[in-house]
Amino acid sequence: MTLQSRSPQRMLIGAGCFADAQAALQLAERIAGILAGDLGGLLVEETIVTEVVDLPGQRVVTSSGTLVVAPSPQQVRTLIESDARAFRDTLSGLAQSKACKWSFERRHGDLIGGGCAAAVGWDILLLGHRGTHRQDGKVVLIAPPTVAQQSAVELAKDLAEALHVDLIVVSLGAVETAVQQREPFASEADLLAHINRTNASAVVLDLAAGPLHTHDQLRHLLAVARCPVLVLGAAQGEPSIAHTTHIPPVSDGSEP
Amino acid sequence: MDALSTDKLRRRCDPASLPFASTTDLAERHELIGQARALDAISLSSQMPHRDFNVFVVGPNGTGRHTAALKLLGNEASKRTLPADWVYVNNFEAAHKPKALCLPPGTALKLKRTMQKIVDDLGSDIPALFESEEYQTQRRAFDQELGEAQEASMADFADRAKAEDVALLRTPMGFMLTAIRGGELVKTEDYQKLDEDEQAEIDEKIRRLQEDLASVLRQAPKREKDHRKRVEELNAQMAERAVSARVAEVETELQAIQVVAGYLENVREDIISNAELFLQAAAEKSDGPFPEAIHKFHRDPMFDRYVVNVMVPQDGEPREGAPVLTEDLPTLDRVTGRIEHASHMGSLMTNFTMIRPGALHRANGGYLVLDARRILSEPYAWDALKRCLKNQAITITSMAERLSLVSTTSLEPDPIPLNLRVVLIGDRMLYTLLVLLDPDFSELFKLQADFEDVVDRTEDNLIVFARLLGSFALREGLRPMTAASVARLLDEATRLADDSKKLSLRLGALSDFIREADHYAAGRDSDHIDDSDIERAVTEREKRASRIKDRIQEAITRKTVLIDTDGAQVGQINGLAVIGLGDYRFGRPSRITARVRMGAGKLVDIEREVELGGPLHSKGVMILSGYLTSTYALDVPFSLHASLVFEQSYGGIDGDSASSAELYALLSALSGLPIHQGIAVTGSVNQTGQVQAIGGVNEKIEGFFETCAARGLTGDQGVLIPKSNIEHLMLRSDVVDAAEAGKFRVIPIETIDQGIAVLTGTEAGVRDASGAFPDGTVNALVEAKLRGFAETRKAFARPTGKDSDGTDK
Repeated sequence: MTLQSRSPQRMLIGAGCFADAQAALQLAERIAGILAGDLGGLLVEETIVTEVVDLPGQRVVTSSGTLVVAPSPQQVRTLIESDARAFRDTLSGLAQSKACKWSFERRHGDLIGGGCAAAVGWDILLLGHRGTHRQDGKVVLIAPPTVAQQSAVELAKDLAEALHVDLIVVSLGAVETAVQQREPFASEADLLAHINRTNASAVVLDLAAGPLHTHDQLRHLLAVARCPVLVLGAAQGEPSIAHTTHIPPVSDGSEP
Repeated sequence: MDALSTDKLRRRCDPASLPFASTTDLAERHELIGQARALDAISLSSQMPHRDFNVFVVGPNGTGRHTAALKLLGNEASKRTLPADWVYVNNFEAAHKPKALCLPPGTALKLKRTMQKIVDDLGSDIPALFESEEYQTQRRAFDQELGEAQEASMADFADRAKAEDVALLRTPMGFMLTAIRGGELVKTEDYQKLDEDEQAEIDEKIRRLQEDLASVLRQAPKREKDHRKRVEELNAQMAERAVSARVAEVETELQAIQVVAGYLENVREDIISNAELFLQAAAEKSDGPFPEAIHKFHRDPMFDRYVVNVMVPQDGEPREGAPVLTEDLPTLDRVTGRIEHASHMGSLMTNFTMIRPGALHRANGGYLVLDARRILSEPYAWDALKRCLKNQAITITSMAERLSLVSTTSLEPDPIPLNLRVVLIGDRMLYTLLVLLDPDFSELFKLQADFEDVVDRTEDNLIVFARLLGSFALREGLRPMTAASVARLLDEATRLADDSKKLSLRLGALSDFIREADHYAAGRDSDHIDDSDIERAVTEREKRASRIKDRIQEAITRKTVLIDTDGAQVGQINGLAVIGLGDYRFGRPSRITARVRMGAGKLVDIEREVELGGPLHSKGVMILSGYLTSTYALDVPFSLHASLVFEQSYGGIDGDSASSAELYALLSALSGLPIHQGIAVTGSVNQTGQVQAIGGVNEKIEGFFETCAARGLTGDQGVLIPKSNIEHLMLRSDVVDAAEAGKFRVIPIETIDQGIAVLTGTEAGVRDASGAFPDGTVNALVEAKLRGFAETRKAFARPTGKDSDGTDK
C-alpha cells in the first residue's frame, strides 16, 4: 500500500530562506506523485540571523566556497523580502502544476518552533535545507519505537521509491519495523552522528511517535542531516505555545 | 536559251541498279557513312589519356551525332576498368567538412551496410551493457563515494565547529558562523559585553572556521569534476568493449582497405565518446510491433553521423567497364551534385548525408555526354562544368550559395578528384560562339568532331546508304523495304541535300519517312514497304505542312496577291522567294517592279528604305547599281534615279537571290522593252553581269510552277535559274512531268545578257569595235536612255541667261 492510495497528504514546507526552501520545493516536486494534497509555504525570518550579522569580522561563506562581507541587517531584510517572493512564486507554480490549493505564510522567530506551531492541521511538515552537493543520497527513516506508528515508514518507503534511492532505517535501540534492514543506535548522539556522515536526500521522522520529540532534537537533526526533513506529527511533538501568547501574560490594566 | 532537258531536272535512282530486291537481302550496317572525320575525333577523345581532350560534336540535328557518339564511347568504355566507388562520411573533427573516401569498385554499398549493422547492433549492445549489474554496481559505487566524501567533509567540519562551540547558521546569502556560549548563540550585544580576550578568541576561531568551511565547500566542484571523469572513463571502458567487438567483426576484406580501416577507427573512437547517443535512442525507442532485436537504430537521425553516404556505387549497376552517362537536364545541381537542406524548427539544416551526387560523380572515370545548348541555358551549369574540368575535381556549390540568396548552415565537402571525358553535342553556331566568346572553351575542349550534312551520291554510297536504311528498319522492327522504296528514299535524301550529286545525312528525317511508310504499308496489309508508301509519306508530310503555302497560292490565284503569269510588262518581273517554317520550305513568286527617271545617280531600294530589306538584299541591290554604272554610258555622269520594290511584301526580305530579277526589271524599265511575265527569275548577280548560284532552287521553281499550274500551264512559262544551280535540281515529279510534256521550262543562264534576251525576246547586244551596242538591242536602248538622262541633267546644270563671261544677258 502506498500513499497514493491513501487520502491526500497536506504538506507544509517550512524554511528560513529561499535557498533552503528551494531544496524542499524540488523534493516536493519530485514526490508530487505520492502526495496529492494541498501545499503550504512558511517562511520563518529567523531573528538570530539579524542579531549576528553585525558581529565584528562576520563574513558569509557562499555555497561555492567564497567568503563575502556579511550583509547589514537592512540588507538581510531586503534579501528576506526577495526570498519570500521567490518562495511564494515557486510554491504557487508547483501547486498549479499539481492542481492543488496552496497558501503561504510568513513568521518571525525560530524555524523549528515556528514551523511546528504552523503545522497544526497539516499532515507533513517539510523543513528545507540547502544541499552542499548534487549527488542524490539515501532516504533516512528514523524509525518510531513502536510498530503501531507506521505512517513514517510508509512515507519513507514511498519516498525512496519515488526518488529511486535506497532507504535506510535508523532507530534508537532495537525496534520492530516493516523494513527489514535497519541500524539501531544506543544513543541519540550516536544516531545523529551517523546521520551526520550519511549522504541523505531526505530524512523522515514522526515527531509524535518519536524517538525524537523535541524542537531541539529536530533542530539538531536538521543541522546534521543537511537535507530536507519530512516531519510527521510536527504539531503533536513538544508542546508548544502559540506565538501570540506572552509569558507572563500582558496586563490589561485591571487588577486581579 | 534552251530549256533544260528533263533528265537534268530530277535525278532518279533506278531500283534495278540496286543489287537487292528487298532490304532483307542486305547485311546489317550500323556504322554511319561519310562521317569518318567526326568519328575519328570522337575516338581520339575517348582514347586520349591526357586531360582536356574533351570533344565538341558539331553538326546538324538528325545526323546521328548522339547515337554515333554513344556507340563509340560505349565501345571504348567497355575496355576500361570499372572506376572507383566514392562515399562521403562524417568528419568527426569538423562536421561541416565531410570526408570523401575512394573505395575499390563494389565496396561502397558493402561499407554502408556494414555501418548500418554496427549501429543496429550497438543500439542493443550498449544499452544492455549500461543496464548490466556490473556497470550499475560500479556506477553506484562512484556516486556513493562522491556523496559520502562530500558529507564526510561537511561532517568533519560540523564536528570541528561543534567542538569549538561554533554554530552554523543558514542565511539567504550563504552560511554564517557564530559562537556558542552557555548553550546560547552569541549575538552582537552579547559579544560586546565580552572582554577583549574572549572576543579575540571568538574572532580567531570564527575566522579560522570560516576559511575552513569555504575550503570544504570549494572542494565540492572539484570532487564532482573528478567524479564525472571517473564516470566518463567507466562509460568509455564499457562502450569500448562493445564497440571494439562489433568493429572487429567487420569483414577482413573491408578492414584491409586503408581508408576504411582509418574510418572505422574514427568511428570506434567517436562511438565510445558518444555512447550516450545509444542510451538516448534506446530510451526514446517506441515499442512498435516488432521486438527490440530487429529495431533499425541506423534509421534514427541521431545516428546520421555514422552513415556512409554513397555517391557512386558500382555494384548497383550490372555492367562492366567505365560509365557512359547522358544527362538530359544538365542543371547546376544535376551536373555537380547538390547539398539538400531540411527544415527544422524554422531553420534550414543539412549534414553530409544530404549530399547528392551529380552527373559528374556518376560519370567519373568514364564519359559524360551533354547537349551543349541545354547546359549553356542552365544558370551556372556551364561555369561549374568548366571549373570542375579545369580543377580536375568535383566541388559542390549550390546556386543559392552562389547568389547569396540564403544564409544557412552549409557544408564544404572534400572535392572528389575528377577524371572523365566530356562530350558536348551542339550545332555549328554554338561552337563558333563558344570559340569566339569563351576563352576557356578551346582549352578545355581541344577536339572538334564535325559531322557532315551530306555525302556524295556515288554508286557505292547508294548501296551503303541502302544497307543503313535497311538496318534501321530491321532494328526498329519495321517492315523490310523493297528496292523501289529504297530508291525513292534515296531520291528524297538527295532532295533533302539540295544537291543532285549528294545524299543528305540527316538520317532522322529519313527514318521518320520509313516509320510513316511502314504505317501505310500496314494499312495495306503489305509485308513490305514499297515506293508508293514512301511517296505517300513524302506527300502527306508536304500536305501536313503546307497550309500556309496553300493560302498564299490561293491568294495569288484569286489575285489578292498580284502575280502575272502571262503577257508582258515593262519594268515588272516575277522574282522568287523561299519561306522556311522549321524543316519545311516552299517557294512563292513575288512581283518586283522598277521605275526610272533622270536623277543624280541614285538607286532607291524601297525595301531597305523602310527597313524591310536585310543586309544581303541591300548588298545585292548595290551590286546591280555597280553593274549599271560600269556597263552603260561610261563617258557621262550616271544620271539615273530608280526605285525598286517587292510588291505586296509585308515581311522582311533578305538574301541576294533576287538581284538578277531586280536588274532585269531595271533594264526593262530603262529600255522600255516589256518582260514576259510567264517566266520567273532567280539568281544573284555580280558586278560583271554573271548570274550566280542561289539556294532553294527546287522550292522556288516549284512555287512558280504551282502558281502557273493553278491558272493553267501555257507552255510558255518557266523559270530562269543560274546555270551553276543545275546540279542542285531535284524537282518534284509533277514539275518534271510538266516539263516532259513541254508545258513548263527551266532555263539555265550564265549572264544577265542571256537572261534579258530570254525575258524580252530581244538580243542584249555586245559592244562592237566602235564601242557601241548594236541598234535595237536591249543594251543599246538602256545606254541611250541613260545617256539621255545625262544630257538632260547636263542641260539643267548649264547656267541660263549668262554670257560666256558669266554676266547676265
